Amino acid sequence: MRGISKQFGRVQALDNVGLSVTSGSIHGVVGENGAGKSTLMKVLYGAYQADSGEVKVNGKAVNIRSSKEAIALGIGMVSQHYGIVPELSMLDNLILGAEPAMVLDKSAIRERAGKIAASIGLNYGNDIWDRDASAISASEAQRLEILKLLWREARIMILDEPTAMLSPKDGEALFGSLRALTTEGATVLLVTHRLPEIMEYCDHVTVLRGGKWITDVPVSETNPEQLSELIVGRTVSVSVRPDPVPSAAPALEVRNLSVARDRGTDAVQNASFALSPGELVGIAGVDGSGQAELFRALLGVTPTREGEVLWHGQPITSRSTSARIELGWRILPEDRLSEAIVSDWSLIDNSTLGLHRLAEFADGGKIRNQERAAFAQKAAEKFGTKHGGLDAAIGGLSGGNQQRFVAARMTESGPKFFMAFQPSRGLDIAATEDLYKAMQERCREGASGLVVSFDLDELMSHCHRVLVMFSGKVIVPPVDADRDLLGRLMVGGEA
Amino acid sequence: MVAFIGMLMLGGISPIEAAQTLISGSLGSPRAISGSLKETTPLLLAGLGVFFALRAGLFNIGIEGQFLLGGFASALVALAVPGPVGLLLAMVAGVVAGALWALPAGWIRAYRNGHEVITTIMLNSVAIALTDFLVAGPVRAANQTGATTATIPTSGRLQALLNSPPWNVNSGLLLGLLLCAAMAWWMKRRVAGYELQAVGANASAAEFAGINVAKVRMNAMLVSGGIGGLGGAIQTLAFEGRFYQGFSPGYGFDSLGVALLAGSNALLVVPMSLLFGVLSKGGTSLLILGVPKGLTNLVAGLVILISATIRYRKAAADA
Repeated sequence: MRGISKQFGRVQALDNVGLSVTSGSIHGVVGENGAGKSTLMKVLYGAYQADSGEVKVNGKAVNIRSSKEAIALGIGMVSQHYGIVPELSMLDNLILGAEPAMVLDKSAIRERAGKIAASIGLNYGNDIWDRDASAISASEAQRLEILKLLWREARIMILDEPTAMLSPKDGEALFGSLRALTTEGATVLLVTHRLPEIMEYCDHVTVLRGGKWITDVPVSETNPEQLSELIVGRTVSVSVRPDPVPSAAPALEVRNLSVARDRGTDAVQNASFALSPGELVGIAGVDGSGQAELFRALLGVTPTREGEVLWHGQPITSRSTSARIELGWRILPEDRLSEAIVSDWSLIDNSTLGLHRLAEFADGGKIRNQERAAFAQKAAEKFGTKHGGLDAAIGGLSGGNQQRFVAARMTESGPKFFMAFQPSRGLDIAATEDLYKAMQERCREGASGLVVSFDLDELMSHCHRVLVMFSGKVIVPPVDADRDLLGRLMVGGEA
Repeated sequence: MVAFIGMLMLGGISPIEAAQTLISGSLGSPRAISGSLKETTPLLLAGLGVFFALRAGLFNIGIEGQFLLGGFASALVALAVPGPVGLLLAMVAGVVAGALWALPAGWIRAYRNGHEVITTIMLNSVAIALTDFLVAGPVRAANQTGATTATIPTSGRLQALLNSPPWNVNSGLLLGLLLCAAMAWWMKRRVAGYELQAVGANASAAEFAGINVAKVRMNAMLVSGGIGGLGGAIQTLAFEGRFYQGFSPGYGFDSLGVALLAGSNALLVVPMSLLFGVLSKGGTSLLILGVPKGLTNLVAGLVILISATIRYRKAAADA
């Protein structure tokens, strides 16, 4: 790809960017949010048309106008949102949209499917292919997406933040599969913000910043510090894990808490833990271990089946969400679009969503407009949300900027206890550091915080203590538990 | 539009003549304008009712039934209690009847998650059958041949705001305008209005924000039905002076279009109801030319379709 430019309205998303990838290699593309990584990939994949520049595949100039044309050229993309139909079996999903013939020869399909799986080191028999896709985990879904591309004979694969939802172990397995592919001549383009992945698995890395090409280096000739400087454009102080907080009378105490699922076993099973005032505690675990249900139950959005929640010794298990907000509880929910914002609303309207009944923002039943606008301004400034006016709809902002704004809503509204679910989702390195600093600051002022993340390293380098959730259970490891131990607990291992 | 012109021509009517008739019949004279404003009044009230529920994410198709019940209840009260006191009580009765008629749908939506579209359609059928029955039998005026209540004396009716023939504008329209302004203010300035619209725009985010979503839905449905009932009461007390079979020619259904076209701004309910009022009045004049009423409904339908297309195109371009 050479001289690629792309403009959205007045925003120059890509400015004369080049990218050259050797076949048979794993090539990393890194940059902050808004650096243009995703846009560049979408141009390659045919989802966007570049305003200028050319794309060559295997030396031949091509004009890719749709994802169909891209796949015909052997280019496929695994996005962060999987396109899997849960009602169909694994095998049906595999061939969906790329059926070899009108009448399907199932045995031939099975044979080829098996071969493809074997090429990335998976031993998939009929029992696996016939499983319902609704029953598969995030990492299996992702592997299925890769297999779908292989079924379509993709030779160049684009992966956008593939390990975002995976446990460290599944992440390693994924890269093992990708490595196996490249030895057979396939090419992998990896968009990521995790530098360890670049250092460990990539051959080459391209850095983008602000829509511009910054550099292109073999991984062997660089190091994480240099890369993060190139990405951010300035030196970033790397965070050091804070010292443990001396234990005191707990601010929040959870006793034998169980949360029911619609059917089957409890989503949260008999969870007991406590947070001291001033303590920032992480909850590590693979996605789907019950973190979301615990989060909702603590907030009072879903009822608990059993157990107690105490706030400074007072039982509050049956209190409403708004009563908990009144106590000084603040949240940063998991799913930004469906739980944290109203997309059509302005930043100002969104700034007090959840805080709107507090005396600071409501005078009796009347909205205090000035205070609200001032707070929106403060929240936007805190983490440098880039916006087109506080009156403009928040839905027009990039995911990262929305996240900055809702994160500031949590940290800047005087929390006494806060819960953040995957707080760094969509944030770049610098913004992530800023956010954790703000959370640590609140804790120094006496607040307690609970952070759920699927990224163990992120928790280990910022939290006083890390708990682990596995299969609905909350495990409280020793304060000095190391990465190995926590990683083992995350996948159900023994202490 | 092309379809409309085509159909006119098929019917052997000149499109230009038709347009002239439509406009002169609805806006061409003080009398015509007064008539359009009369048609606008029930559309404005019912439109506000639908709009209110719509902001809470609820599609209150039941407004027709609530309108009927409100009109019916107010007629009974105004006949029983004479004078201005009766007038006031009759309006209250209209609001209460409309709200009660919306209550089952609101409750089922809020606490049993049954869709309000289904339940309100059913309630409409019941409302039509029930009022038809009552007015044909139990409460039928003694000396009348048709299925109707007795006529409310003038002292128990809503007075004209302006009555110097050919001008005639009833104070019911003013009530609608005041309610509209109040609603716009409430949605923008009040915490409760904020919560209502949060539920409508993103119910799960509203839940995380500590808003009692079920309660908001329940109340929104009650208020919506109450406004629909008030619309029926005003129709009785301002224009009809009685309740009879066929009391509403479908004001409730037309008001769905009014509210949809108003989008997110309560103040836009006014021009939209005016548009539908003008079309309705002009359509009556077209009847004289031999253009069936259905054809003007078709124009209204096209307006909705076109504006929806424009809105979705815009939404698609923003995404």
